[in-house]
Amino acid sequence: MKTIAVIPAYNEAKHIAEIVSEVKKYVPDVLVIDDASADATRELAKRAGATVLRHPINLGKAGAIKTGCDAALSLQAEIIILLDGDGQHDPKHIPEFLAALDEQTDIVFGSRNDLNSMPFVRRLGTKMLEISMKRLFHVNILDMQCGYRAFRTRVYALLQWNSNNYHADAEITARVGKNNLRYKEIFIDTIYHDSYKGMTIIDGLTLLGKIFIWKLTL
Amino acid sequence: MITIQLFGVIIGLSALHLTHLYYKRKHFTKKELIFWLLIWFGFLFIAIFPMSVRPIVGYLHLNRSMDLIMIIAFVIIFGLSFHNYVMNRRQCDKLERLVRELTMKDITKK
Repeated sequence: MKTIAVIPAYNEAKHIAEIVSEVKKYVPDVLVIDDASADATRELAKRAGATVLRHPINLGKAGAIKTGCDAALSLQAEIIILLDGDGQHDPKHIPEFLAALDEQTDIVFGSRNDLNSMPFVRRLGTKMLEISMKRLFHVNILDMQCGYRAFRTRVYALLQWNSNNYHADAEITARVGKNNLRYKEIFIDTIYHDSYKGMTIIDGLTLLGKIFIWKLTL
Repeated sequence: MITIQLFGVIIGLSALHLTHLYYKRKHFTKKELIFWLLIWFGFLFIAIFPMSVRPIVGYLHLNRSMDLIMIIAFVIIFGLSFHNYVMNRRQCDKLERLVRELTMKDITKK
């Protein structure tokens, strides 16, 4: 079954080569979407053995994964694995994703296994998002914001997201519930390289509002 | 003429000048020129003769002509904001589609 790993990357020269090499141990086809990086992300990813597509202007992570998925589809992929280009998703979990994605499963979500060690406010926010997703879309996963996922391309059309920012991961989760897709959740290790990344309280509240809007509009 | 009227006249004349300028620079079509000229001449007329809108002010049970202008201004601002939002969103979608098409050309070449 043809599997392609899609990695969105923006100014990830520091980590991209290592990620590509690691991912290639499990998946031979790696597609890096360079989202108009100003550094050597493209060259380093290419040298590490990835197929690299470059956006002429920055579209954000949501836009980059959409390009990646479209490209993977045109390369006849049957399974797409999404993981971040900043190295926070450990490729060693890829076999677990592939094992979990059996014929009866459409999508496998990765959830960070260190949610309990998060600061209280962040943990509370994540819990609120989890509860609202469970109540409104009947999707029971702990970490809807984790971008480490694998899905069968046959359901890609049902997952097509409109969000053009960090809400895309949550929107995909909502669409899984909306379309009654079969899902599984596995727990993954997370490696944090940049402490400034992640959602703020405002982002969390905006996302919470969005989940309610999606309930009405999706 | 009271200060607020004078202020209104200055704003109206400046807007007329800009409208004319944009037309000369071919940023506006003739239709747009006529539309904005009507708007700004109307604005100038009300600024100079605020009593001319008295019948409408009375009909809407407002106290002052200024209240009417404020209400109209708010309606226009909300309308324009909505229009700008829609146009901006449309442009963003077009741009994203274009970027994706250009990027996807690379994969077909490979």
